[in-house]
Amino acid sequence: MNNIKLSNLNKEECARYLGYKGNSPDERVKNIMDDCEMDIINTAIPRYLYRQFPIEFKANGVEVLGTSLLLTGNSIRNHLEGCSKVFILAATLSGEMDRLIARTQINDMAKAVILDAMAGVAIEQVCDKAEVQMKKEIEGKYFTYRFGIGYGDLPIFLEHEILDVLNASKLIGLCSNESYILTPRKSVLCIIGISDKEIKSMRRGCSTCKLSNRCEFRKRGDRCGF
Amino acid sequence: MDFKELLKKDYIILDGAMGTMLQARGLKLGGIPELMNFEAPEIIEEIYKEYLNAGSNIIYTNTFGANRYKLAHCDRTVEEVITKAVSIAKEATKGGDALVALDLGPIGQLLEPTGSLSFNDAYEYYKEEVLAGVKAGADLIVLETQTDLLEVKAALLAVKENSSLPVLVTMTFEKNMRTFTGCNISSMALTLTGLGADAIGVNCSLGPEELLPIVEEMRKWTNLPLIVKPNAGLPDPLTGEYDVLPEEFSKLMEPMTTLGVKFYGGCCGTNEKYISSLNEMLKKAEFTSPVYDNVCAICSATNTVMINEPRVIGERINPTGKKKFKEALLNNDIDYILNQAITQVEAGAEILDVNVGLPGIDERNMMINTITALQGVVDAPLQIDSTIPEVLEAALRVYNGIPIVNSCNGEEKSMNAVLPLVKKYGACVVGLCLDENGIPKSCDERFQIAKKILNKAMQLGIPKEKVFIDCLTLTASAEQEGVVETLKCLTRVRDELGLKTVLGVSNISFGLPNRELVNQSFLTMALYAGLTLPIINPNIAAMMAAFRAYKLLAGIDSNSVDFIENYSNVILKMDVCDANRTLTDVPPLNKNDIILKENSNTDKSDIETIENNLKHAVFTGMKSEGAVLTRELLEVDGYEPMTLVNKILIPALDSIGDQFEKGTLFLPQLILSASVAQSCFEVIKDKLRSENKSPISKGKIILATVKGDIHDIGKNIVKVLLENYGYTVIDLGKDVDYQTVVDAAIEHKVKLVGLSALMTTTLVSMKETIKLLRENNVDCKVVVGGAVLTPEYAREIGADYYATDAKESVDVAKKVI
Repeated sequence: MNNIKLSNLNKEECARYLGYKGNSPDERVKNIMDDCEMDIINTAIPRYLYRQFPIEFKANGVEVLGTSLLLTGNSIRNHLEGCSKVFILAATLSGEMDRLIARTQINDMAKAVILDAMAGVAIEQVCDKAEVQMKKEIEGKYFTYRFGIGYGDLPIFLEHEILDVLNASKLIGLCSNESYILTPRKSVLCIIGISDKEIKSMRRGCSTCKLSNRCEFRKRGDRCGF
Repeated sequence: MDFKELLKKDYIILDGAMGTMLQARGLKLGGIPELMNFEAPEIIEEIYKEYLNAGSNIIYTNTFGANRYKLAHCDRTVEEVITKAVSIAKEATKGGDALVALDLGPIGQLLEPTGSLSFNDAYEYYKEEVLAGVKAGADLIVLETQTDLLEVKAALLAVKENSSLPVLVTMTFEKNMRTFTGCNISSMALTLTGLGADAIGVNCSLGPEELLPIVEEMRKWTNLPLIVKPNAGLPDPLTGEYDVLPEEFSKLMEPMTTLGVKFYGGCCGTNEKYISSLNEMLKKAEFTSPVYDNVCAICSATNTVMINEPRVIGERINPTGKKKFKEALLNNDIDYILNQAITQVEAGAEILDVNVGLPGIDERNMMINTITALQGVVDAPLQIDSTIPEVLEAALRVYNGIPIVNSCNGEEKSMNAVLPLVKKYGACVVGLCLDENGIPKSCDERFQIAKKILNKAMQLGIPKEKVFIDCLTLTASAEQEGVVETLKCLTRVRDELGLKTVLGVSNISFGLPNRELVNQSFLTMALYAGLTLPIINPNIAAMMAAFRAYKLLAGIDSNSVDFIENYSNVILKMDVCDANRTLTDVPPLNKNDIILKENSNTDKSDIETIENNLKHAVFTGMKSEGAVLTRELLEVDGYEPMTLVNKILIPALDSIGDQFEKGTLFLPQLILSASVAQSCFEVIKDKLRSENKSPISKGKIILATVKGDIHDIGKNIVKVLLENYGYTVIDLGKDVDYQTVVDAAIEHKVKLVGLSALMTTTLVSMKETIKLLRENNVDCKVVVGGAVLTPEYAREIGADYYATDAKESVDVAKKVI
């Protein structure tokens, strides 16, 4: 897989993560964002890994063929409707990123908070860039959005097995602890459906999201953007 | 044949892959490979037979993931899996000379601080595997595909402490010569050699061609036999097929024979054909003995510091004579210590001394917590400083790398207690030139003690280069003639014993005026006399300046590169460097600096101006200005610290909090302002301390991120805000045990406990913590917060309050306390 290099991190997105709700940060915060962007580009070591699997819809879930994996719940079934294959994607910014955020919290909390949000932007960029590669590999197909493990009613406890299927700890150093927190912290594990036919615009909306009643964005009257 | 016998061979052939071989025979991805030992033992045995026929001298059992964490969801125990796997391998080797190695891979979750697995838990996982392997009759143990040096250390200690079997250790490196966790090759080699591995090396991740530079680098840092077990090249991203064929593989491995590599095998993508080809190649290869020059170095997992020239050891992590540091220890304020560490490293310290001994605290626990936390934020290797052997050992266990132990002395009792620990953990040690009769006056007597310590260390098998001698600094004002004796002793230890030296420099000037001038001069003299590792305060610009100037003059700083980098365009003032100021901020030395400041007669309108400026600084988030203005106000006669707090800081913070609530001001601004207020409070507290008044505190509050959860940024924001409002926060950190919260709440008699959790999976820990607080009848309120919490859920789990954000947690604190 080609190396992914981070570039031009999206500041508006970072502001949204920080609760700006469409307002523009002041110059001082913008300057800190610029610093954080540089720090992340110089520190993070983006690593990612994806594999393609055929799937089969069974009564008790979606079977990922060639693996031991059975994806259960209605959310993932709806998400993958019309798909014959999936990509499973794992990506991380590495432990160096965690160390930088931890270190910054010691003597510059304001910067640390912005750094943390900006690292969230960065890992999404890694995923976006990985998706570009996937699309190149299988042209003429349609992709669903990235469906995170634990999203909707897809059980989060599948996370360990999915990491094993990808051999993610060995190949990119991505693990998960007993509470299913991915480590290193700034990481993503997700499923992308592949279909021959165009997928009806299925943005992740609050109405379909199982986390909607306890979502940090909704609490402050915003949306997560998916 | 046993391992010792086998080692007599020039080359030893290991096996090839197991995982990819099993997949080729039908193992599903995500399936547990170790269950194949039960489901299809004949397949496993067949793979072994193929490897043995190809020439393997050692085969690895199919137990890579046979630990309790990975087997949690299957119905076989660790012991069952290991017993079965060893018996299959034994069966396959029956009648031959090949040995069976119990193969142990990583546990599968990351250790603290990146992950949440503690060192002790990691140790216990491996211990269970090792005991089962010994019982089952494995001939040796292999730790492989490791990426975290601390996990390997736990594993290696588990092997050494629970078996007498030989142990081979291989880690997995990337092309950037580091593992996924950032561990570099030198640190890996130094640490594992120090801990007593029988051979070390590299496996997986890359093909033989890419591993060659990694092996070349490893050769420089260890005298142990090396192991190489590469993948069959790199996998094709689409098909997963590896791109190096058997003949090419062994051809690419041939250059390794000139580097003293003794163990050869294959990892992912290899099979018996690769082993057979390796065997053919090695039959023809001429054996060359490895060349290795002893190196003197210490390291963290990510940074190796060679002790081949003077290096500064930062002395600030030590409570002696520091009120603020003592307070921090009593309140378990690890962040304060971390701040000290970062500041010293930024000032130029390459090694940090760590002393957390204080009557009334559990020094052992504090040392473990401090070292664990320090390892998460600084790369500098540490010097573990304690007089208590139990504290030293606890620190040596969790330390990730090769530290310096400070110290032992010439007393038999001290040497017998400390040196065996130094040997066991592969550390370096400082030997103090004193014994039961105290500090000898003459150079010669001190030199004799140094010699005695060195001899004792060498008898125990500690390499000579790991012994550093502290010739001891006596106070010049009390024992003026002793200064020269110390200097003479430095020279003799360097020249006659060939050892590196350590010296606490600052003690020289005790009781004298203008101490820095004396310290600075003594530092230069001592370095010239042979001092390698001065222990100093690197935050004093003059000390670092003297150090760098010495290195320049002694020709160590070649072409003056370091000196020019640090001092071009900088005017030095012989003063303590403020942590928030750079050297360039310091105004030039002029006569005004040595004129005593007259009492200031600031009039009322001036005071108002300063007050307004301070408010403005808080609103706009200007941290250093806030501190400067606070200092100015406090210098005004009769101006009370509490006036400043109640009239300026609190109203400013309240107003910012309101704006945040209304959504006209946002989180980064809130924290920026809070940070200014925090720096103002620091100035106020310093002033109160200097007047021996107790610092202002509205009361203590405990904060913790609950068990299992490692997202702590939200909790840390709350901490900053609460401290702003004058509360003393006892921060228990992240992933905190239920009982720890209860114990702390009782110990500190707190009125309010704040708990944070970010994951739906860790909310249950929040519930359990509250339950335990109630069961123990702890008289406190509980406030909870975190992204996935709701007010309803907070009520359901028995919390008294729910706070949506940091601002609300302050409102709760005001209500409760």
